[in-house]
Amino acid sequence: MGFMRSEMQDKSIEFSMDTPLEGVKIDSIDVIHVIFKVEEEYGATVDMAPDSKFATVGEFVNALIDFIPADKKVDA
Amino acid sequence: MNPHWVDVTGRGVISSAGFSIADFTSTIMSGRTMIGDITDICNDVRFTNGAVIRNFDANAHFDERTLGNLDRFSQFAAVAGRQAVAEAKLADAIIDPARIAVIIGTANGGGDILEEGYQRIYEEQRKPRPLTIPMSMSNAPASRIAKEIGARGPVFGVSSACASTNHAVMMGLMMIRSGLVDVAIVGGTDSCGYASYFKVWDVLRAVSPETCRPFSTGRKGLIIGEGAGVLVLERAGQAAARGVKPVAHLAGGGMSSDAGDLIAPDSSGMAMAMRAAVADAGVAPDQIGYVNAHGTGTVANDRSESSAINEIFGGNRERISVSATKSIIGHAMGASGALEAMATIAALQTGMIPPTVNFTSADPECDVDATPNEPRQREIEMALSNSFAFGGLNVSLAFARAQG
Repeated sequence: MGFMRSEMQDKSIEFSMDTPLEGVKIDSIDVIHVIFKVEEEYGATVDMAPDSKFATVGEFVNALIDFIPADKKVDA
Repeated sequence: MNPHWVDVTGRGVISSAGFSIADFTSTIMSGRTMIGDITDICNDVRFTNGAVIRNFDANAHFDERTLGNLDRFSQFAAVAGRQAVAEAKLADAIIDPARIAVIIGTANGGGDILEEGYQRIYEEQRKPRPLTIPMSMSNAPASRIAKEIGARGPVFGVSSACASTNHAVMMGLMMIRSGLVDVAIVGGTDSCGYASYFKVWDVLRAVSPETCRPFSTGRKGLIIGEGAGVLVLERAGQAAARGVKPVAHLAGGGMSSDAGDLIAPDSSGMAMAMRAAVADAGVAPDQIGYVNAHGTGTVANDRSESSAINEIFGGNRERISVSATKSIIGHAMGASGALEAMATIAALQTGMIPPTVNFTSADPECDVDATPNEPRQREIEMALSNSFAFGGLNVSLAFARAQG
């Protein structure tokens, strides 16, 4: 969630795991940056296309968490 | 006025000679060369000088998020584009966005971000930055300008080495003439001030170990420059509705290919392009008063270009002035045609021919009036701006002084 906020164009938008993804105004470039940050921070390999469709912030975040190695998921 | 001519209503420039048309014009007319030491960037090549842009403050033009997605060559083009759009007062125009084209040339694409990427991959064993591909793609500058102004028509990049700008301008000219678009935003950009770029030029042995002396005895090669220039082209008279007068007319252009040597110039191809430009403009050769030469400062280019100029204009040194802006701002590669178009338009506007500086003495093999070292007062009605590229590609543009 923190990575998402850092890449959002409008950082004043409040959101939760249930917020529709389109409501946080992140574009394809932002998604790539978020994926990259997850890979760099957690040593993950995120095999996810940047145009993957997710209904909510939670779906997107949980999909990313699935790619994080088990021994690092506590930090995530 | 010839109905095939189109209006130039806006200009913008980022260059070692300044970040505005006024500063650029003042510098090139003064003949103050921008060529200087580059050993802080690269100190193990056979040359020590370049015309690098040192004080471009990208943070003054872009927010942090945008800046992280734009390589330096796109930054140059976007800022030059803003100047051009402002001069043309396009914000006041009522134009269908689908009838606005943006065509920007570049020889190198995003070399800065590629260099960083290679360093991360091979030296640091890290991943490249995630947007290396969209930042380095040759259409990135055109796409950025289109995004900023909301252009929804033909938008693309053109890459033909050092003729990139002039090919882009030709595309815009043809689109307006054909009725495909009402406005064409055209130009070129290249960022060249990084170490690997100096090194690849070094091994080609085309760069001068001292300075750039086009058409002069003792010339030893080109000097690497960089920058961007953008022009707004419109159907003739269109801008009058919003109170904008053209700064010049783009009267025509000519393109040719040598179909021969990859890097050695061919005067016949150069002459073909100039002859075609004059014909396309619908004028006679004796109506051209000035040629802003490609004038790289290499032995072969300047000899071949002089021969071509004399073939087209009859060898009458008194009637036609020639100068090489690269002696002041270096060779900005894909952007060179854009910067030299600005110099050509400035000559038409001011009645002053910008000088070829660093000129020591006339080379008998370059029998042209190269306007050595000092600007020359000369009212001209029409001028050519030449760009010739590796790969044997030649484009000459014909500009005319604004009428009315």
